[in-house]
Amino acid sequence: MPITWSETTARMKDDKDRLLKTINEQGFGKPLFLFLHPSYQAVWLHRVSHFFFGRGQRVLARFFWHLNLLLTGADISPISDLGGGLVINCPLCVILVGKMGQNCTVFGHTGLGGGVGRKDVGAGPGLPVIGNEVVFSYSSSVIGPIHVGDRVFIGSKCFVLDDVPNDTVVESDPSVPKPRKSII
Amino acid sequence: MIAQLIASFNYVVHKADISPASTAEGGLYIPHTVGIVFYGKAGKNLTLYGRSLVAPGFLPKARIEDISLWPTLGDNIIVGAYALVIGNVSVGDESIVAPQCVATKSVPERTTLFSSGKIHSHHVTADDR
Repeated sequence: MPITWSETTARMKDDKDRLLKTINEQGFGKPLFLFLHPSYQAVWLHRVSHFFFGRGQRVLARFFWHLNLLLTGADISPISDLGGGLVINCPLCVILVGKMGQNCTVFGHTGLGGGVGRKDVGAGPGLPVIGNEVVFSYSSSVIGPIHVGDRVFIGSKCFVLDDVPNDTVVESDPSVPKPRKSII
Repeated sequence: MIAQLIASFNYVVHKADISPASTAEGGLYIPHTVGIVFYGKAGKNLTLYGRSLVAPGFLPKARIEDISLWPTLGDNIIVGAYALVIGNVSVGDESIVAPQCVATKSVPERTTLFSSGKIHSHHVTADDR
């Protein structure tokens, strides 16, 4: 079932509203030039690319995907089905392939995709399915055909390979400081 | 507006997200620019290797931000490849944040921060795939 244009514009409106809301939460007013914000650029270009991919126009979908990669550095595949209200702070080195719910937040250097198995859990062979209101922190990875529940916080440098239930915080091992006697 | 345009040009060409409001004194050295995110205050002779990330914590990011929440780095600091410095932390003078590790707490002077180095592995059969 390909996505319609009205659904695409509704998702774009949700993205814009949530981005402005997250900026306003810090006490700053509405930014003058929202189109210069990398999150707005990346998510908008992905929406257009996904719309053309659903209609079968692969060349246009590839063009907008490549424009996104050149402008913002985010590799968001046209086959990935991302819900409305997506905010990508720092779209650098972000790879998103899979299915995602509404109101998710993605930070920089995040990876989401396949490569471990070929099982199909609803998003395609080997791709993960993410719930609503999930936060991916810096450098986190979700790899393989797994389910991640709603309202999950995935900490920085986490490498998730198994299913995650609802309302969970996933964190990695902390780093260890060691004092140095001599100066290099 | 002009600062944002120049930062956007830097972003598009070099893929380095360096905020116009961040400060770094002389001697900033970036050998590989791709994937660097720098939102912080730094002293002299900072070295940022590829895909290192210095950013405020889990705040949603605006283009113009509250500088008091940003990480503070001292003089002669090396931030290794794939390392993260996150949150309202301070890193002392002449310390090293080693590759692949996360600094979410403050690091004192002349210290090397190592990653925990644990590897969790389990056997996977052909039926799991």
